[in-house]
Amino acid sequence: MHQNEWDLLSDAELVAEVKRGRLAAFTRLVERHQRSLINFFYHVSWDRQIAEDCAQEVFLRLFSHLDRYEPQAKFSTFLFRVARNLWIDRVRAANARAKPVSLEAVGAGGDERPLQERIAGNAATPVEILAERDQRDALRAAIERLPEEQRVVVVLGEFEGLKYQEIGAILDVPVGTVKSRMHAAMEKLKEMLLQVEA
Amino acid sequence: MSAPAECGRASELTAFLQGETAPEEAEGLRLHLEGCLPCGRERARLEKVRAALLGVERVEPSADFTARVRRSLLRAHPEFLATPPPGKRWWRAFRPSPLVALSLAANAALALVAVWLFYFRAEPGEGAHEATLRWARGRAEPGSGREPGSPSELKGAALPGDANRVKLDHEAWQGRMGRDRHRLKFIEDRKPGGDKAVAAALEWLARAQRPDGGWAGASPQAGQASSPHLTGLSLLAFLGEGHTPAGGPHAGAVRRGLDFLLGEQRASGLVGTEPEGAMMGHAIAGMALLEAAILMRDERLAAAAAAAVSFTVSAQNRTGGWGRSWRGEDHDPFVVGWQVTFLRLAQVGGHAGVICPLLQADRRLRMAGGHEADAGGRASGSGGLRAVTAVGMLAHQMASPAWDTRLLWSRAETLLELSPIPGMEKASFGQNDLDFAYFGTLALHQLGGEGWTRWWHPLREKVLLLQARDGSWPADLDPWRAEGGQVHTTALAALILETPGRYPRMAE
Repeated sequence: MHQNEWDLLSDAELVAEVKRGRLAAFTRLVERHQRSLINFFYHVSWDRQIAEDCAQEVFLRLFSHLDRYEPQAKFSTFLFRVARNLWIDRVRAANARAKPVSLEAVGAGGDERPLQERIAGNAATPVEILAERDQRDALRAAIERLPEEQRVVVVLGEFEGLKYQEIGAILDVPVGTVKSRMHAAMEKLKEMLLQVEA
Repeated sequence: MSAPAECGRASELTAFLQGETAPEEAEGLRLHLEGCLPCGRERARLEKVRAALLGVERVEPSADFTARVRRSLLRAHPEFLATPPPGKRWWRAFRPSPLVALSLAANAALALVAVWLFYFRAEPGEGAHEATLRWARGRAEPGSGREPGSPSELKGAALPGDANRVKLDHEAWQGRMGRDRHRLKFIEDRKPGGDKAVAAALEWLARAQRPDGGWAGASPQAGQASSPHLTGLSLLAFLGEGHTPAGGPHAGAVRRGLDFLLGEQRASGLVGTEPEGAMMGHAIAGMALLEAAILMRDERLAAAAAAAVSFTVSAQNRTGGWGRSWRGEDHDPFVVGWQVTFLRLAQVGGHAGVICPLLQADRRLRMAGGHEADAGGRASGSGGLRAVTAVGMLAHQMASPAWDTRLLWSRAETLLELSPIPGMEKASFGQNDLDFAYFGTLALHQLGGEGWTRWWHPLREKVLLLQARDGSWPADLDPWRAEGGQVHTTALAALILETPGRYPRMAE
């Protein structure tokens, strides 16, 4: 099959071709979804290398999990579910390596915030960043400081353009939960940006 | 900390702005927003957050990312290196993909809707049409006894300069203007078509709108100002699906965009900040104002559109073409294409004063024969000449009361020789030409028949495949309008996909 003919196949048809052992179909799936997947990981980690490593691992896991894919379901939902699970695994592994401390414990070096606030992100606060006149980094820090469950909703909704229903399917939560998490996240981002402006 | 929102409905705004509110609730919330000051302030703040998020950087995959994934897969699953198993039946090669089948079904449905509109709903509805056409007729001096579009004006029309040799067929034009009333109804009746790709594109465009109501090519951080060109193009994409300030999820975006354009209009009628190089943007912005005036029956928009039409007429050069600047003679074919489409829409709306400029433009392009030396900067011998041919075809269709069908079919064959989007991979995007795709689609849709079928299905599939998950199209998809960025590619791709529902076929 010519390259352009692969382009005409839907994701579900490509998956079927991969199951028949066609590497070109798998390559086409990678080409089709690599950008959104890498950007998903980039926006939750802000590290390009981690983003590409995670995306690569997702594609490998994907191959192992293809039998679980239902052709009538949206492929991107399936893909982001795998991505989301991988990210949870990474976060848990990172937390397991860290020294266990109380969530209420304050940090050393003058950082008075409890750990449960700092765990949302260890970057400088947006106000501090603003002092360096770097608005882009301030916004980045604001996103990084969101609780992880809200950050993922913002990344999938605002950056990847997914609808609430699809985000709910990926995270395995009701649409109402997506809605409340999104609202809470936008409220926090709004407050942070208002602080920056002030 | 900001003061807490003073209205209980403020918590509904995030979902509303993201298009996640049910239509019946959205309408109620929209009405509420018009009268609730705290919610209005909250909405402005949230829109600011969303605009800031839009500027957050995205990364591109490394050049070798796909190759790395393939290598990893082959290391983990060496069975892939074996010969692929047989079993693919020969007839599968002829089986249309679900996308093709969907496309065929959608087109069949559109055709049925068009036939229904023309044959069963085409009753003139005299009062409504009179109200709609008032914008054009109202331009005549009260009590002058001479209305644009009346037979008396047609008989008094004369082509300036050396164009006097062009024959003005009064009867043909009068007949055509009579049929235009039905065509106007087609435009007035636009409704969102339910195309998910277009809906996603419009969502993306709504998110990309600047706080000043306009659209710009680069990210807000780059400091590029909103432009009438990109604002007009984006608005046309919304209006093409029937979205107006009157209602729907994009009512606010369309209203703010139109306000931006009205604010950009000069006393001369030009929509733009300076005459030099602004003619294409002016035509596109003028078309957006005109379409909105038709859809909304809004006098303020109608007056602005009429002034923009007058400026386009005044800007035509002595040979019947348009340049990038006022009366310029560089004959950019794409500027001509937009001006001709703009004037034809004005004429469908009842503005007979544009007929002479249209005839002159048709004559100019027929003389050029689709072989302009300047193909909008494209190298001759590439797809550039085909792009010019597409504009020439469209100008003839728009500007002539009687088509030269032999000429049109020969030009159609030229267009069909080469896809306007041969590059499906990032490395080959340089071969693409969205201007060619847009004008070719308009021209071949007007022609209809086998030529349209051969053009539309493969083009539509390619456009759909190139759409990103967020609803946009890559900024570098069209190298000829790089300065327009993703807003340009997304708006133009949406307009291409909307083509069958945007305008009726003139020959029908």
